[in-house]
Amino acid sequence: MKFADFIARESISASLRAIDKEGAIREMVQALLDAGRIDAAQYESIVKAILKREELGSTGIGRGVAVPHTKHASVDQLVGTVAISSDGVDFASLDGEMVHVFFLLVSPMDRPGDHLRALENISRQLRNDTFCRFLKKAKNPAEIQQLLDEADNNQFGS
Amino acid sequence: MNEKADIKATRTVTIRSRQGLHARPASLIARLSRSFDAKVYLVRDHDRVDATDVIHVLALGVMPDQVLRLEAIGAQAEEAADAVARLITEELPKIED
Repeated sequence: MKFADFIARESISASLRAIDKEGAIREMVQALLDAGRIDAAQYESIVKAILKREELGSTGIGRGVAVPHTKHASVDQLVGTVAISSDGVDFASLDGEMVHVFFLLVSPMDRPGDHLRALENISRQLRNDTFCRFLKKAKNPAEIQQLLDEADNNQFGS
Repeated sequence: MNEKADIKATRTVTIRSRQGLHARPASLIARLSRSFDAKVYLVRDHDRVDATDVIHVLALGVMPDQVLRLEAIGAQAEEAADAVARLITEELPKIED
C-alpha cells in the first residue's frame, strides 16, 4: 500500500497549531472534514473514538512520530492525513520524545488488513532517517506531498 | 549486560491476533522487551528487527497466522523469550483495538 492510496492530499498540514493531544487530534480530523473525506455529522464521534483508543495506550511510536487512529462505521475506505508540528506535542510516547510528525488514520470497521498495511508502509518509510528528517523539516503541504510521492516511488530505498 | 551476555534463547510463535501485529500489540511487545537485561529480536524470513522499536515491529507488517522467531540475547535471555512469547501467544489474541 502506498501513501497515495490513503492520504488525503488536501488535508495535509505543515503547521499544526495544537499544543496537546486532544487539540492535535481535533485539528487533523477537522482537516479531513474540510477536505470532504469525512461526514461533518461524524466529526465529534470520530474524535472521541480516536481519543478513546489513545487511552488504551499512546500511538506515539517513537522518533517523534505518532499514528492516532480508529475504526469508524462512517467511512467506507481507509482515509488518512499527515500533519507536522514544529514545536512538538506531548503524546506520551513510549520513548518520551515530543511528537512532530502525525499520521492520523480512520478505517472502515471490516478492513483490518488495510489498516495494518498502511501502518506497515508508514513504518517502513520512517525507518529511513532521511525521509524522517525531511518530513520534520517540511515547510508547507507541497513539500510533504513531494516527500510522500518520493517514498511511494521508493526513492528512500526502504 | 554482564558476563552472561552471550546467553541466547529462541522461540517460535504463531500470531493468533485476528488483526496481526498492529500498533497496540507492537507497543506492548516493545514495552515488555525493554524490561529485561537482554536484547530481544523478532525475525521473519530475512528480516530481523529490534523488538523494543515499535516502528521496526510495525514495518514487518505481520498478518494473522504468520510465524515469527523470537531471539533474546543477554543475561535474562530465557526470561525475556518466555515472557514475550507468552505475550504474543496468550495475551495479544485478546486485544482487538
